[in-house]
Amino acid sequence: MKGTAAHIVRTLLLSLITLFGVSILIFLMLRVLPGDPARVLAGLNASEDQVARLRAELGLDDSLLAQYWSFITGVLTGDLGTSARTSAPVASEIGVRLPATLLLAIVATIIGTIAGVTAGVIAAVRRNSMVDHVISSVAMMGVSMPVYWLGLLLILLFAVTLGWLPAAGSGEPLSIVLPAVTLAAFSTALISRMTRASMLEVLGQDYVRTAEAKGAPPITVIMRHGLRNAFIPILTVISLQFGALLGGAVLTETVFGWPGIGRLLVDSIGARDFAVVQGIVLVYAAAFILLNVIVDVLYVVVDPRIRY
Amino acid sequence: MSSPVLSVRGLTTEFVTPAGVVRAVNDVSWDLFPGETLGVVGESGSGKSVTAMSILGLIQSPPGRITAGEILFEGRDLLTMPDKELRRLRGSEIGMIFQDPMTSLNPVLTVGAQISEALRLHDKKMSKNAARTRAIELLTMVGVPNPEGRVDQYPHEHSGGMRQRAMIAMAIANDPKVLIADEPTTALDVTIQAQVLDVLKTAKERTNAATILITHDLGLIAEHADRVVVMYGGKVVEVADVFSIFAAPRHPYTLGLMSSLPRLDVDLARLDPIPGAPPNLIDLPPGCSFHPRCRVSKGRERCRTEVPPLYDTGDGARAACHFTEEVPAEMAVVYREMGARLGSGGA
Repeated sequence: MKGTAAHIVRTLLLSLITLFGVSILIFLMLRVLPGDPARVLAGLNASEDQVARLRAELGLDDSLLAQYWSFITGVLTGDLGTSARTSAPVASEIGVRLPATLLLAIVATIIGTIAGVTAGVIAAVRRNSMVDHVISSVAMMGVSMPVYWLGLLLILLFAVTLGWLPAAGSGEPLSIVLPAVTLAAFSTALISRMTRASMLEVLGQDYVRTAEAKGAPPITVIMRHGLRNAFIPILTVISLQFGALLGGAVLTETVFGWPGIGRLLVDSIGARDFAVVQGIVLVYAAAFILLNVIVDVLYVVVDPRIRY
Repeated sequence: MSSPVLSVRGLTTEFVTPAGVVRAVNDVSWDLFPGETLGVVGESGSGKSVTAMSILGLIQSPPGRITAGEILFEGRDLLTMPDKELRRLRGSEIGMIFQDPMTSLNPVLTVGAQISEALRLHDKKMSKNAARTRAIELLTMVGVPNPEGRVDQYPHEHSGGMRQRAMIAMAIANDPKVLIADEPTTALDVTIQAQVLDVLKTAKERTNAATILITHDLGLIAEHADRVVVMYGGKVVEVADVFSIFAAPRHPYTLGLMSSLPRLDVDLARLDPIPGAPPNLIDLPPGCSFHPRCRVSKGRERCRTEVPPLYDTGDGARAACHFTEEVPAEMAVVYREMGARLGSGGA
């Protein structure tokens, strides 16, 4: 366990370099984008004078180095800057929306993990049976169906026709159900495929036969001896999916009017709101690094052979 | 003689493969009596392990299936028994030791947890602590040094010999009446083999379990078995007590096994290997499946056309050869060819 703690500290220290690199990359990428933030912000009817004043106000006339310097020193002192669009601090803009995105990603990951692992285990245990084929077909659909399409279908059925669930927004506790299920569809499919493959490999191992020879009932053999050993690749897929959900829920957030960070990011890119985009990307990068550290620790918990 | 604790009767196990149906075990019958060690020998693919797996109901289906026969444990047929009852016997009345200790232990559970599991599966009232204490006792019994420390370690922290000791501890945890050891030392270093066999012997003596020792190593058979079943091409070709098998084999295949084995008690100028290769189980030779490799057959018509039954050869021994009475004479010929000077060797 001592090695693991050292590994975490080392990873976190190294991640500072990563974050520094990310900050340079996103900063430069935004600057090479066509489009002048001041012009977008000033509106169609603004005069050249007004635009020029705004450019100066936003610091866009400074050299790139000076702009970056003011950005990075701000970050280091905990100040992510101010949104050009709303004049609110970037940190509070993100702070307002991050919980909604996190909640959605966590709920969708939980649904995806439970449904995906269950389906994958059943498919592996009953391989080549009717159940297995049905699960495989549904998983294929889950991977290939676009989220906005699935989202609209779900709204049509559960909100419009049946009236069981709210169609959009985040006002009611049940509001999360449809966006979470929509997001979980892809994860479920992916996790179930990985679980099936991993379980099939493990169930053919000698120690599974040993467990059967000991007189263990099928559920013990499958869960205690099978799934636990099959879990490392599944855990990897789950964590990758969770990361993707954090950043890639834009479509779902749009379809369901979910006030998450994905929409803020897209809107901010459209408005060339540099400070907000930079802030969100940095937060994403930090979140991914943290997620990786957590998964590294989980690997050790799942498999005692893994040591850092 | 007392009644057998385990009887295999006409067991036939097949595997469906893309190339055809493989009859891995073909009408096999034998008895295991209380307290004895029954050696099962044969080449790879002769059906030894599949017989053991069939007994425990561990044949993967598909592709495997048991198409005929019965396996009587204390008079009850394991093949028609409900799964739940069979599970109650597995690991408690019938213990099993597998070939490869490197892969037969679960890598993510401690050795102690795996031994405790064997105990608690069959005694629901046993507490975790009691199971752990008993696991330490068992590890001590199989000669694992520092069992208190070892019990909480994972298999990858143990050597191969240590793991096989743990496997034995697991197999005897519930004092089984039958212990099946499938090539228990094949995967181990030669130096460790002897130690593990000693442990197995002690374990067997402590529990007085009737033991089935599956091996291709005739040396093991000579040292540990009371009676021997010789298998070839999925069939039993000879059954006899261990002294008769070595002194006077009654099947040409058994004779072939003996004469391809270096011996300490007979001084040999050379060995006499069995020509050819083990038969293809999908496409067995007609008649006696050993006839293409047999030195007794001498191309006789009957060997090619008629499947030999197990003939009684006296003293409870049986051999599946039409010309079993010719085997002793052939043995003398073989040993003369090999330059044996009987009695001039070691003990």
